[in-house]
Amino acid sequence: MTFEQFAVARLPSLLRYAVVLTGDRDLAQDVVQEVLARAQVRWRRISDADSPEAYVRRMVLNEYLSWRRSWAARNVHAVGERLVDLDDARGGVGDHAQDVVEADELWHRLATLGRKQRAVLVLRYYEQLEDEAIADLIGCSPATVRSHASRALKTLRLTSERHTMIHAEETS
Amino acid sequence: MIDNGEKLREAFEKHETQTPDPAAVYARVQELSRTYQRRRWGAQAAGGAVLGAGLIAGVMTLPGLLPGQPSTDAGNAGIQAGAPAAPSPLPSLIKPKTPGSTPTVSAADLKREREREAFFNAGYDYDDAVELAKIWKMETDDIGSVKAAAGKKLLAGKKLPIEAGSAPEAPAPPTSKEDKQVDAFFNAGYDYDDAAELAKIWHKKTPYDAKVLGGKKLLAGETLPIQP
Repeated sequence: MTFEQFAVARLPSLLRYAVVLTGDRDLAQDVVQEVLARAQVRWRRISDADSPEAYVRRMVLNEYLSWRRSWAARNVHAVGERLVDLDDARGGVGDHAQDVVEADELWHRLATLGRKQRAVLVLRYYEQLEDEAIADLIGCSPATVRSHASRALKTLRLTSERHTMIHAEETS
Repeated sequence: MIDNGEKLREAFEKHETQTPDPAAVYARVQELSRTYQRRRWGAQAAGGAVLGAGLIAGVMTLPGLLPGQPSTDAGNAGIQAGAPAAPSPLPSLIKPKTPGSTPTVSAADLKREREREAFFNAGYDYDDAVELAKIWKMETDDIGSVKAAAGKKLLAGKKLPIEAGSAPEAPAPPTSKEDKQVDAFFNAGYDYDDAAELAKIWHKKTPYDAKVLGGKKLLAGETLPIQP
């Protein structure tokens, strides 16, 4: 398989994976571009791998985890603003749209997580990998994977509770 | 409420389609890979102008890659040192507006891509764009627009208010005492089910509280009432 054939077949899927992983369309683009550019230069070796796609997906994960500088802290500010907007909008939506609103809200809360914590949730619930496989990908023990996941889920809950409380105070 | 894999899957799957344009990504990939290849060979960079022209020509015409025409192995043929930029975007990634029509990219998209390209070629990156957004009071939701605005200034020969790669690093989040306790709990081999059982034994509100207390006890050298 040539690099061109690989890109035709797998680029849309890689971009979806990167969007879920980074939570940011623009950063996803930067990460995938960097990874594929390097993969293209080394394509002969990568195409010999058992699964070139798994290899490249792993490169995307590593690129995201080792992105030169942290962006999450800056992202949180924008997320906070978006959450207020979402809650304001929530008053006018019907019950049938509640799931959609909740999915949006959860998506924005995910941006408050650290990169490893987010990656663990993505690998576990989006890629549907076992903790052992996630541990292998991230380079830690399965216990650490469970620890990351536990803290991430706790953070998502705390954020939700805190936000609900603030919102209730503001509207009372 | 949140510790529900189904809800997380829904959130991921609902937003996974918010992807950038694959054709634009592929065009940039080819440009970057040529740069990497040249660095690898130790050759002098040919300069952004040739690449830019090749990119634009590729986006507009797609010669050699359209169905029915001979294909090239982009992994090998498209990265010759010093060679003019090969026409790049993949035909299947560019959807014609109407069946049978020639794929096109709008002039506005091309202009924006050129500006983005100028931004990257000057050595700036995502973090610099975030910093510039702050300085220019632009929205960080659309960093692509910030990159384009910065690239436009660079193409006009203007200087940006920060040097390339100079945006300050955000500090790594500190590991809290609670984090260390949870780590200790899992590192001892306990899992969620154990935490749920311990929460019952210790009358804790949630399994997470049991993980924290369990970790605290383990770090203090104590043993827990159940084995992992």
